Amino acid sequence: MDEKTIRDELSEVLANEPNNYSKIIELSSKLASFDSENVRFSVDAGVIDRLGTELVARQETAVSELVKNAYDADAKKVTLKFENSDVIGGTLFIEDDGLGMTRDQLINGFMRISSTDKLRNPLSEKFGRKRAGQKGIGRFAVQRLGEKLTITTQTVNDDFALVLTIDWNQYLGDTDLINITNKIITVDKRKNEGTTLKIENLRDRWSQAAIKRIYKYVSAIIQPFPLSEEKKDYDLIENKINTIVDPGFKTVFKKINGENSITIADESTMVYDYALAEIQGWVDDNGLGIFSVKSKKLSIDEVGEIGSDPDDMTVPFSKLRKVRFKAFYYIYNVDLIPKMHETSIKKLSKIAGGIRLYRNGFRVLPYGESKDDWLKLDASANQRSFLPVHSNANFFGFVELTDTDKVFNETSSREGLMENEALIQLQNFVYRTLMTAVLKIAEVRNIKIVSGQKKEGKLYEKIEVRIKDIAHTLEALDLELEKEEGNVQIKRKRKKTIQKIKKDLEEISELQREETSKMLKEKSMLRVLSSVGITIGQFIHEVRDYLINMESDVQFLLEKLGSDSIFLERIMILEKNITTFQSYTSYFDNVISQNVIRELKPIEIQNTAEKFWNSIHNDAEKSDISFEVPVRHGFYLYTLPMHPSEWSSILFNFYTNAKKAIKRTKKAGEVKIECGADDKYIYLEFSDTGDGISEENEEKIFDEFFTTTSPNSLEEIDASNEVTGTGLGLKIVKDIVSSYRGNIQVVSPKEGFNTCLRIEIPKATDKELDDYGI
Amino acid sequence: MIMGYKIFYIDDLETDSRKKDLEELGYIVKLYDPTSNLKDLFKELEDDTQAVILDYRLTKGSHNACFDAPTIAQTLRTKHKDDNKGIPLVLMSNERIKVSEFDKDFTSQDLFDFVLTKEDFTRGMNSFKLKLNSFIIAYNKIRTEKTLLNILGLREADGFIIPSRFSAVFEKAGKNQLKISSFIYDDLLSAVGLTIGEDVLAARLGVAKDSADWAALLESLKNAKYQGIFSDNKDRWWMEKINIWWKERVSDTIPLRRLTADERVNLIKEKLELEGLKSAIKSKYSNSSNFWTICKFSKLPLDPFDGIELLKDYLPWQEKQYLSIDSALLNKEEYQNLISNIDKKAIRDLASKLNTNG
Repeated sequence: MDEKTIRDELSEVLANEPNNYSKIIELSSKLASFDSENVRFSVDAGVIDRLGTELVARQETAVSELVKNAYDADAKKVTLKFENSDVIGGTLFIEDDGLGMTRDQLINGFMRISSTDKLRNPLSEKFGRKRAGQKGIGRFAVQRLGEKLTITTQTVNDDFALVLTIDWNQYLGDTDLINITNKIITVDKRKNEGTTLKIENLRDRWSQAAIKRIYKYVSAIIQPFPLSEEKKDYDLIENKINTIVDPGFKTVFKKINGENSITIADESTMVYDYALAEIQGWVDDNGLGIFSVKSKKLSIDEVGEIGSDPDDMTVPFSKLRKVRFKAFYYIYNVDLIPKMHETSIKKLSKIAGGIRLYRNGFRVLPYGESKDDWLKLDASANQRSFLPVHSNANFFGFVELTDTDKVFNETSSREGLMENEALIQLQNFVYRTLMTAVLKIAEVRNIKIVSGQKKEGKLYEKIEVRIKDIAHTLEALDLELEKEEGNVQIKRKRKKTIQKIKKDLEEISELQREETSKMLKEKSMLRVLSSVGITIGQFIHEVRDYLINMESDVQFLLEKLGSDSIFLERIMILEKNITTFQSYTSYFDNVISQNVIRELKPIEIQNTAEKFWNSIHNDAEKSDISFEVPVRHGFYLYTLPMHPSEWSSILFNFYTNAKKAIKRTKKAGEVKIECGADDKYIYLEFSDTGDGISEENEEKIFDEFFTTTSPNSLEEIDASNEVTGTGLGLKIVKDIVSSYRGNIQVVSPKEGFNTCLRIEIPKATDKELDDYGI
Repeated sequence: MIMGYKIFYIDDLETDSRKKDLEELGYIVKLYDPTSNLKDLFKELEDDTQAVILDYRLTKGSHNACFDAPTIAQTLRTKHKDDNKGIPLVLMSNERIKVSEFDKDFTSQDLFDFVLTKEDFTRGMNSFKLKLNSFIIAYNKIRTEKTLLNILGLREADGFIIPSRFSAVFEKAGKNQLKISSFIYDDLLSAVGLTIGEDVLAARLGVAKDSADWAALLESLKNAKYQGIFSDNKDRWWMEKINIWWKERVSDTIPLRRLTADERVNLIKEKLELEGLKSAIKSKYSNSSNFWTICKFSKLPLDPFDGIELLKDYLPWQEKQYLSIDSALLNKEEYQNLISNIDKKAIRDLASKLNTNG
């Protein structure tokens, strides 16, 4: 077409079909190409696909971008529903209760590529959230996810909802982007405000595991820890002030298959539910501080007073009024938080832990940012003035100031509040409240641990707990002594505290005595065992030559006596016996020569088991026990550095026990070894068809060392009995395993077997493998 | 009946049974319990002795010798350095550690012709006999034959097979029988390169060794077979002659290396009418069936492309050795120090991927 034809056609369209905008745009851009003096960039529609697939390579990222958009729109909750997503072609709904978009926002924001809105407005409109979304990747993420997108959005002020439909399949290459149209219609409002994305014909399958993965992904990048659960908690706050506190952001993931709906996870259950305790404090109209500590786990529910004067809780704070705060307290690495959540909470705590500050509903920075330590929590924890953990990372919380009288003033740089008496009192109040609560929790925890431990072999731990307890008592005492003149009540309290220390010390010395006597017994037993070991070593060494010779003598006889069947038969038995004996000695020989090397190294458990099998399967065969080559489940089954002979000892123990157990059944038997790895551990499972282990003995078999009336001196130990008894062997195995922080237990037997012992040893880390050149 | 070889057996302890065993194998055995004076040993060692077998520890006997086998071996080696009278020395100890210290597969020790444990001996007396005899014959042949080609069982016309660097090493060895025999036994016949063994041969032809017609195929290759010293105990083929065979009998257009196992087998089947041949199958994590070597551990065919290289000092005429990926995943200790860090990392990553994906 030449320029004139286009001009003519354009004027005809303008005259006759003024609403055919697509045609008008198409013709005018064609016309513009005849501009001989200027040139323009044009955009190919294929750019959408490129941005979608290249910027957002992984589908998890794509979904999390959309969740971020909801967060940026000040949503309180976003729900993701995956419908029939087990196969490709399912539907995903992303529904939020955010501010929604006006027609203008939709057109100039959503539909405008590379809009600068988020750059110009880094904080969200309503809650002042720091916007998480990157420069407008979100909509391309949608393209990555499914073939068709329908957006339904409504704002508070409009009385209608907008529905925009985009069919991504239209965005093929070789078309001008501007020429592709997307339908937008107006419908009745479905809710007050918010946006719903419906993504149809999903390009991927979304299994439950995949959804869990995005959930993790999302919670790792969006840090908004919900500061308050319900606004009504703060009914004290007067209405006339703008008190919009960010109520937090909740994500809910659902998977729907036909009738069936599963909620995958939601944010709030996670962080809140696993807090060890909830600490709240407030200052009433008279300036009196009150606090509460609640913990379901430790059954604590206490209320107390915090005064301006540490000695007298009834002295009010002169400058503080209408202050509230709430903090959730976490103790990590002590099994107080379920393992599957602990890592993510801990990670979150690094960026979002600490106590934030809101003044009249607005966040005041930098309080509660990572690295900020306005309450001197980290400093105090580092000084170890209190032993119980209380760093910023142990708390999630916030302080809310209702400051109509402008007692607190922000600095002109808008970075923090002026250092005045009010701020100092506030820090004092919050810090002391938290410490009081933390100490209370530590006290309750210790008592609990002590009373829960009655088992044998845990004396060390008991002593440790006692010592910790005394340390806490001393701290409390120290605190009281800090106070100047004490009244009668305080004196009485001190006396009580000292008495408690005395009692604790008595208990320790008692425990210590018991422990020492056990240690002595164990030591003398170990001495006996080590001399037995040395003797065996010497014996093996000396016997080796004779054995080899015996073997060759037998070989000779076998050849020469070929015709005489009675002798032959007998000699063949002799040969077998010698071979078995030989495999035993060569095994011990290896063990002993390994002992010459003291160096630890990561042990490949399968290869070790195979070596064991090599030397022992002859013996098994002879004892009518079928023993196949160990089964490998997985590769690189390296334990952390261990001594090779320890495994010899473990496997040999297992084997001899199994052999005895099989013998008791008076039947032919089978043993089986399997090796593999799970998340953290390398495991070995040893199964046999022996007479099994009764449930009540499952725990005991590892601890039988001292169950008989134990002798007190070396002379009294009847070495032969103790050494051959089964319990001793497993006790040694257990000692080895626990010294490497591993586990050993009786697990339910596998099909066709009666017993299964499972050992778990921590995996070698990558660094260890590097260090040992593996 | 041929007179048995005369063997000098040095051991200080409990050797009656073993002496009987050796005699049973047809050797004339002279047992010697060493003294601290090496001259005693030379006096006892008769001129017509064909080989010496030594135990490692020799200090516990009734004569209180104050040295172990390496001292004696070194003295014997030095003595016969240039006099053309060297004989094979064999280390036979009951300590596996000592034996592996002198095992040429893992060390560069060049003191003994071969080593074994007493247990190995008792378990495999006949193969011991074959090996020892092979060495004795080789030593005798080296002593009498003058040219490399004769020693290697080649004709003048085959001279092109031998690269100059190989001949140069041979020239340097002079009259030292140990050097020449170990050069040929270890550096030529135990390596992949100028000659190949049956496993590599099968891999290069793309044929599964358990094929019905494998023996017939070998028969067709008999002119390529190595016939020099040690050929009585080691089956090897000259690679160069295999290439010629391929060109003349199978395909003069496409070299073996460029074909997959199936293509190689199909061509051989077609040209030699050996219908009973099957193609060799690649190992689990391999991609290519353009086999050229074998996995050092599993001995299964492998394209070096898929292999984990074993870092060793290779001589110019030797080809590199490899592990297949599935063998490398087994972390066998003996190869651990032979694998580069980059390969180790890659295998480790693969292992963790396989472990998580079940």
